[in-house]
Amino acid sequence: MLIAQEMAHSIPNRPHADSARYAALLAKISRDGNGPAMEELLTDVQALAYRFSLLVCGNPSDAEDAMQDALLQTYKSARRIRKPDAFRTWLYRTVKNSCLMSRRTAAHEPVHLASLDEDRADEVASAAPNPEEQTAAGEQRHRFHEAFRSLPKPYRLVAFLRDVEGLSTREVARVVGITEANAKQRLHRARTLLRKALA
Amino acid sequence: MSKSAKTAAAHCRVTPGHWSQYLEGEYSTAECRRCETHLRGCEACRTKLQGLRQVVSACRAVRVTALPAGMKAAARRRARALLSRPRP
Repeated sequence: MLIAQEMAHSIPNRPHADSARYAALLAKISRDGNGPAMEELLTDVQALAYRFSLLVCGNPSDAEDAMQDALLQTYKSARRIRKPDAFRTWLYRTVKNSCLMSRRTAAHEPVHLASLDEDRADEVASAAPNPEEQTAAGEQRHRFHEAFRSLPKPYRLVAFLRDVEGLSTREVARVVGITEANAKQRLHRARTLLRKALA
Repeated sequence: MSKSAKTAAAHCRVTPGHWSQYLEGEYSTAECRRCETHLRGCEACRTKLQGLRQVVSACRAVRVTALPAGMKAAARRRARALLSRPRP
């Protein structure tokens, strides 16, 4: 019976909740221009860039640059994309490029982009555990982040897009620029490595 | 995992990739039934499947908890600052 219960097993793709949200935001942006919907989208995209920096790039100190770049790219281009599904792929590709670009910039050109407001770099969490992370839940999260960052990068990227962000494997393949079969293979490998790392 | 299960695991040819596909809902009803039959008799695979499920749940939880307090407010302030600029 236990196994029968476990059979209600498959992982529902979450994307569709996000797709509905993006569809609504894009419709409002198209109608109202730079109103509250655009503000919502620009806030979301920065949160996404932060998660990407934290888990895929493995260096949260780069997050501020990645967040700003994703913000500006989205602001410039979001209105040109009408279809929510195409928008999601575009958004994740943009964030991926912003985060990877920010790493390259940090490595080769130590130029710090000026903040758009008075936010300070110290608002960006450091990789070291903060007091909150020292609690049991925080420690568990910290352990998970470490395990995730220990994955080889191609696996990390696919696991992030599918299992953290809830993109379909087809969308993952489009964002990364690989075949869907390859995306699935990487995903299986990433999950297995994570399972071993967390065991 | 018990010693007998470890021995069984060494002989079990089902790969973790198989269970990942199973979790993805990629199998037909008939294939799922075959998986269920296998799971009944294979502790090693039950352990693998449980582990994979825990990994996926942990990944899902990250999306909600990753952003530190204050970061979302800072992101919103940046968005507002950008939108309040006069367009060139």
